[in-house]
Amino acid sequence: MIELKGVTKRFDKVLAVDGLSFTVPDGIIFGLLGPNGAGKTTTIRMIMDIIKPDEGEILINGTGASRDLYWKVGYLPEERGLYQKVRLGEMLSYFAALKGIPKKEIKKKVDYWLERFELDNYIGRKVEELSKGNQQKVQFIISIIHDPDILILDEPFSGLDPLNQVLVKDIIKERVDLGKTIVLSTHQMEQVERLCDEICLINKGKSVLKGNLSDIKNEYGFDLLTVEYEGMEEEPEVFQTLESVEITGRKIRGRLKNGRKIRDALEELNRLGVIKYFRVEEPSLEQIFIDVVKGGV
Amino acid sequence: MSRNILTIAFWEYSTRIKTKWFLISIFLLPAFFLLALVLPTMIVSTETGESAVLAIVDKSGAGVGEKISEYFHQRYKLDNGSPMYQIMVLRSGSYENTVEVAQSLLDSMVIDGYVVIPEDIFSAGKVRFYVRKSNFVLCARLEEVFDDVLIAARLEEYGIGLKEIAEITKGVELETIRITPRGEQKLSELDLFILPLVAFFILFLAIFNTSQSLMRGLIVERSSRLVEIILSSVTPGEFMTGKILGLGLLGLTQIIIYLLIGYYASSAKGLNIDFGYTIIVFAIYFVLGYLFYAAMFCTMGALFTSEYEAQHAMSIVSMLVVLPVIFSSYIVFNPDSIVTHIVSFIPIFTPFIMVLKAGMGFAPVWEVVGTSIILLIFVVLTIIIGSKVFRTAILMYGKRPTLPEILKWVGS
Repeated sequence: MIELKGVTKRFDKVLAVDGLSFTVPDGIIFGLLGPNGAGKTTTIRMIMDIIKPDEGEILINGTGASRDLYWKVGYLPEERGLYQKVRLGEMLSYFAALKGIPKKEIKKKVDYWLERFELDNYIGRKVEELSKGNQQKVQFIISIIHDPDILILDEPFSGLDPLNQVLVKDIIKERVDLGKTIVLSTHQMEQVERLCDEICLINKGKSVLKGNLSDIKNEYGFDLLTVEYEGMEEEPEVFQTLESVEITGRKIRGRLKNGRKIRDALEELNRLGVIKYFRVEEPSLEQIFIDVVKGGV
Repeated sequence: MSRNILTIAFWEYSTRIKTKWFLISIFLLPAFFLLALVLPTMIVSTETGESAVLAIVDKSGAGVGEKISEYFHQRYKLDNGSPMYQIMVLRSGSYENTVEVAQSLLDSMVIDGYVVIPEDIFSAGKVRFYVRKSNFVLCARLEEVFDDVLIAARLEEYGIGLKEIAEITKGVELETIRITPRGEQKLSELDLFILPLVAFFILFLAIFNTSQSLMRGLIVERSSRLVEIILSSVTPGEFMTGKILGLGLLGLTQIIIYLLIGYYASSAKGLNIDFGYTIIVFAIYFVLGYLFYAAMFCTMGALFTSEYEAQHAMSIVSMLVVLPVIFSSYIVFNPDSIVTHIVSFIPIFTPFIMVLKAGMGFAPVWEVVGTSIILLIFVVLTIIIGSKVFRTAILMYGKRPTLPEILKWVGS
């Protein structure tokens, strides 16, 4: 379990993280979401005890930072680099050793993960000979090689092709099934929407939305309606049940106003012509986020 | 010592020793220094094999011109046995006329230069040499020959014959014997200057090669953000200690290779080098000197994100590095002067100068102990201050820390 209590971090005069609090329970996928520059990476660096918060407290499994504890945590930084001039197998063994894996088990683990990512042919090659995508996979292996209880991934999908994105997602799900905890940080909200159990949405260093994903959708959610007509008799300027309406040709898209029922909207829309197609969508996390940030809901 | 430190030390050592650059630098750098030392002398002393035609305008009336010509013919010969310098002595006509003739010969490139010997050559001792192109070697030879001719002529005036002159001017052969605890030891020029200088350069290369390599490695790790992964596994203190240890072993390997080569080379040449005390002194100053510079460079490496950014600092460092080399020639000739003693106690110079002095037999035990203690104090200070700065600076990105900020970390 990771707990953040009123964590604040300043760089010069910039307030990178501003009184942030959230809790990541065990055994779930937790999404730390927000736009670029929201303070996600700074937050993660503080969780990893790479930098210290100016104020507030961070607890992992109820205690403060210690190295033995960090052997149970895996970390994939956003900005990535590897030793270029050394052989892949040797480099992975080095990082495995730094993570406290006993000597006897290192080779077994390195072999397993290289095979899993179809990199076993590269074990004796120099890292600089690997493609950029393959280097990304190697970085993911480094974060997971010691079988951590908590895995913190900063923008894990950037730079991976769709096939490998699926592979990484599979591994993430696998780990949750084993009872491990995953923290996913990304600005690509649609990427993780279907993965995360709980989220914390941050903007300008502050948390703007947090909690269970489906609860958030119910609470802040609106329904997005789309209708298409065979033929439209009139084009009204004001809708009783919809807002933010866009009309393109014979298609109308709009949000159900607060307190209105879908049935009311359908009734209103039905009067405008013969409906060919009608659809109700749940809002995406991104739309909720934009709403919350812009509208201050 | 924790397992992490050993893991890091082993990694730093093993990845570097396997590179081509380690092997190349181990042999190339000494070769470069040797060349820099030997080449200028070699160039100057090399016979060009070219002959030259000279004229002598002799107004002395004492036959100095002929004597000079005779000495030149005897001393300097080409490989085929013929004289290297063709010398004609001009006497005819008035002084002005003769000089004019010589000048026209020089203008028409018949001769390469001419010497004017004035009437008062014996009292004034001044000779003029006119050339179109100056030649360092020829000038030196002219001076030498004139010296010999004039001294011989003056002595002859006192009624001293040629045989006596040879006896009078016979030089002394100096034999230097050093008293060591193991007995007397005959020294050649090689022992006196060359070997201490070699020891000096070995120490110099080992220390700077490794500590600069340490700094560059750190900058690479910083710019590639590998430090984030490493520092989420080990503490900054372990990281710094492991790196310094690993690279220190690398420097030690380098020294051992040099010593082995030196040992075999010297025993093959039949040299008897007293390794005992010098080796102990060398070991003390390598360890202390390396720790001092490594901690300093490590701290600097933590302050810069890219090698480009570090360039300014590097140029200051290289100036610092060159200072002991500049001092070395002074030390060789003045191993016991007050300046040398003072400089020996300045930590950035101590290791290099003391090793040089020890090689020449000018490092008494009290000075070794004294300078070692002062250096040790500075080593500890550098490590304490360095690790404080390192811990804070290593993960600071985006901006370079200012001096007041650095001082604040040190104070914290």
